[in-house]
Amino acid sequence: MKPTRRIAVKPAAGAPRERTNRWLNAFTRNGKAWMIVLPSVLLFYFIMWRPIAEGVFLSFFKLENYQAAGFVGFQNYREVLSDTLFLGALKNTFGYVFWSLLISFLPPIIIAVALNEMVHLKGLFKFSIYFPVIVPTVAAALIWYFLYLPGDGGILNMLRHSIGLKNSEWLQNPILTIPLIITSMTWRGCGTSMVLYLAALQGVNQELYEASTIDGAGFFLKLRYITFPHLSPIILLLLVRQIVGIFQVMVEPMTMTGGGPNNASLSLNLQGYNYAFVYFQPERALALNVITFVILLGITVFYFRLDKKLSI
Amino acid sequence: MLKKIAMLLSITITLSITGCMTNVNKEGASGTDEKVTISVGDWPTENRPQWVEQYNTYLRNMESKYPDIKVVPDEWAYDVNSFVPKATSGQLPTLYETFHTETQKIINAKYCADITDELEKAGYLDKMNPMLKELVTKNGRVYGIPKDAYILGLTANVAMFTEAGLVDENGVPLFPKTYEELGEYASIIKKKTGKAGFIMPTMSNFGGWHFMSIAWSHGVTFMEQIDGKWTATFNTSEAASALQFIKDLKWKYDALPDNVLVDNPEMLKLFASDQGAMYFSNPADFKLFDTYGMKKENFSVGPMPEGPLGRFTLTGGKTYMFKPGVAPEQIDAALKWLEITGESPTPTAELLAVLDENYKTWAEEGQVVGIYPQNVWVNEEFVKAKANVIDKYKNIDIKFAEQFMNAKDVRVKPEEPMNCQELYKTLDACIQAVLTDKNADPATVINQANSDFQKNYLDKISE
Repeated sequence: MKPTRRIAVKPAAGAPRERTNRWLNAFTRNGKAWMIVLPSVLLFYFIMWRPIAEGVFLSFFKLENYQAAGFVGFQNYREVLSDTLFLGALKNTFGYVFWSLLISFLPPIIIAVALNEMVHLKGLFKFSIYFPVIVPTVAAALIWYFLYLPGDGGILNMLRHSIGLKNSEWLQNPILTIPLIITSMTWRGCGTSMVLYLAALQGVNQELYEASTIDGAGFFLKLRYITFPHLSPIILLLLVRQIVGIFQVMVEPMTMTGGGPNNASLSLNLQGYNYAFVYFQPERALALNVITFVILLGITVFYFRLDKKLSI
Repeated sequence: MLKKIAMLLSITITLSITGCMTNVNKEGASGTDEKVTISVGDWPTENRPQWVEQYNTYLRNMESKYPDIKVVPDEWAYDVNSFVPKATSGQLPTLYETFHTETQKIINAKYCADITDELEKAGYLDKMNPMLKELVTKNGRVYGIPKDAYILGLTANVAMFTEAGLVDENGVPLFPKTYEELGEYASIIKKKTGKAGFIMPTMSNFGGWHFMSIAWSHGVTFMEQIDGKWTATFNTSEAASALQFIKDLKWKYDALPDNVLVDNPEMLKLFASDQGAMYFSNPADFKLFDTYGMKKENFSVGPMPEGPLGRFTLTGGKTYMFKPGVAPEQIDAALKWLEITGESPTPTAELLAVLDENYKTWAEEGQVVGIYPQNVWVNEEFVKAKANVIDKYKNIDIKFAEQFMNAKDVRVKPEEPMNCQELYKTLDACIQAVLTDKNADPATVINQANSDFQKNYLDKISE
């Protein structure tokens, strides 16, 4: 059989044309794949990329009706950064992240490992841990309202009475406000993380555990050498998700304390909300959100570098 | 890889910027059809059937009297979360309602239309209450029509005052005459009933708003224009003593609720459920009775207490504003709609009949009728006509509101001219600071607030 002769395309017409052809070829070659991806790309464009780009763009303008009405350079940034509430809100936001890592990072891992080891009543416990996730928001808010109520009527204060302690001010104590808000968030969010950890744990090859048992390894050795190495990618992923998520905390302080007492629980996003919706200064809200975005971008890049390092 | 990311970013930014540009000036006047179309916000919902019926009657009257105008009902009511998205996307009703405290903010953000010429043409401007007109005016132009208005009074829970023995021979609460007396009475009530004697809101800008009357009566001036520059002027001993009064309510008189993080709904709930005996309020907030189930017999209202400089209070209520970009004929159509709903200044027989029907509906619905509100239209014939209708449908024993209505020495002050909401928010934080820390020094707190308010807001005023 006569071999098919390949005709080489001469790049004489210049590089741009060649590049266009290459893109076109790539598109026609992967047409079906593009068709599958297209809806997501469009959604990403309209819901994520465009608002982000537009937000960054408009943060350099004075706005009227959310329309650019005059370029002001870094003026909005200067106004946000010189606001006496900014540093406090930034500090509080890192406070939320710190307390969140301290209070809510380990419980889902411990619960998932414990559930994975359980033989009886596993379903019941799984449901119990996940239950707060499906409790309606209003009901959850009321539960925590009554738990944290200062004075004799608060449920936690009743418990303190029963062991001979005096009333606590709970959310009204500026030192306790953030940890208490994080505690209520942990109660609601723990179930979701736990399910993800449990799924990862159930993907671990059981033969490894059997082999290590034969070798005489106990629970903690198995945890150290089998469970954690398998969990580490998802731990790292959820860690970053948690930091990014908590960094954007807004609804909880808004509904539980309004950012008080005396701005002790004011977060960056709540301050952004106030700028946009309470004071009608969207340009400042945009500038503040861009600042938040840059900080989160830094954290995410750090995560990817760390992940790469650990993978090697 | 970098090239691809750069390309993706540039496409996104280009498309976004194009998007930004193409959005400009989409707002245009509607109503180019034969009929002028207006949409009317705050249309009553099914949970208020009497008012649905009443509005349907208005609609029928409008159609028969002005067949060239089409009114489209819109149930959207002003709400902080949805207002900006609605305004930005051009989805506001032609005629919408907002609160007095929001009007200047809305005017500055250009989320409303200038209606001066139409009001002038209709002859409404001279008849409008000058104090209320101030709320909707900027640089001599008028941007709204106040719908209703009240002044803050000291509302008292009759049952709790009776339990504490603080009533006269007619069973009417002994309203404290001064702020010191207020603290003392509140303390007595707390001791006798075990419940809060006074409720002070501290969140969502309500704390700052209520603080204004206390501060004014102590002689505080919050801001002044010095050599053309706005300057915060409340770093004074007067402001510190006004804040000291709030601090005393908690730490000296022990008269406040255990929970000091109180917003407006929480305040109404505490008062209506006999958990607090007094608060500053709209003299007859319907939510007390409708939402929180308070009995009308438990309600009474007196004048604001007196401070070293006298009695001061401020106004609240709702205002009509118009969607930005509406055509003059739509504004005229909306004014005709207000004539149909009984809210225009000329008391024709037709309008009086509607006013009569409105008060009858309010009384049937269970609202307090009998206390004269602040009149939006101050032409004498209108004031008299309205008072007659109110008397006709009075549904409370007026002795429980007499002192409020007869107080002649109460001075009503308009809101502060610049960054009002920001000032209230700043003062919220001051109030929280002295209520959550027994050792907080009011003078230090107020000085810090003064300097923050100057730096964060007044220094940044560009106009």
